[in-house]
Amino acid sequence: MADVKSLSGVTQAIAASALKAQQARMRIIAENLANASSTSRTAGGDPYRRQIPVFQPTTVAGATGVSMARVEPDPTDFKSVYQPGNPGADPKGYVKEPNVDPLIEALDMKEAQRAYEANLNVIETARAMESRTLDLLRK
Amino acid sequence: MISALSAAKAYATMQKAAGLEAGDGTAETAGLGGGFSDVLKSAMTDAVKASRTAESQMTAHVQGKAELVDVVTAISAAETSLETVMAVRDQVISAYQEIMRMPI
Repeated sequence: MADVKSLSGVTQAIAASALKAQQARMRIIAENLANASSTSRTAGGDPYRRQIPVFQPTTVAGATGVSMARVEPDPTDFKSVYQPGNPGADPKGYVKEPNVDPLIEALDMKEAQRAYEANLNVIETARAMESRTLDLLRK
Repeated sequence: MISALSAAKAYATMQKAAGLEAGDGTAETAGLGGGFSDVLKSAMTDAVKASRTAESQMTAHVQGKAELVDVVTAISAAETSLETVMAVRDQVISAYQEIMRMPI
């Protein structure tokens, strides 16, 4: 959106920025879930590290919207599993597994879904308010 | 629709004639007439611009260059501005018709 003038348009632009941010978050969740069992390819190396999206307030159409600022790695420890036959195992036979918990990702996904729906409702309500106002002109 | 438009035109002509006869009211009447047509013109320009943006967003989305959210908000903005212009236009034309129906 290049130039938004009406207040309702600004509201919708802000909600749209939130929709985009939630979609970006969904992308990160997808990456985390897809790599939930991506172990290291080299012996004793680190596996996939869980990524965390970081949101920040951003100016959208002259108001404060939201955008994904950056993606940060989750610093929590990896789980070690005894698997001597695994190509990624260290000399003692332990393989580091990603610090991705599918349960947490599922909850994150639910949260992203709810936030997305909430912002869709914002757009819907803003539009409904605008069209109800316009209905005053119609008989 | 044509009758409504001609009514509006007739009203504008009458307004101009009345303004000329009134003498000192000329500038004001002309200013008012110009003011309204300017408002309608700028509203229409905005609506056209909004629908152009919507169209370019649609094209970009088809080419895989734009987010669906942007396309939807652009289309929604275009729809709203066009609806506003239409509602205002209908209202004004009905006002003109109301005046034309006035017994002289």
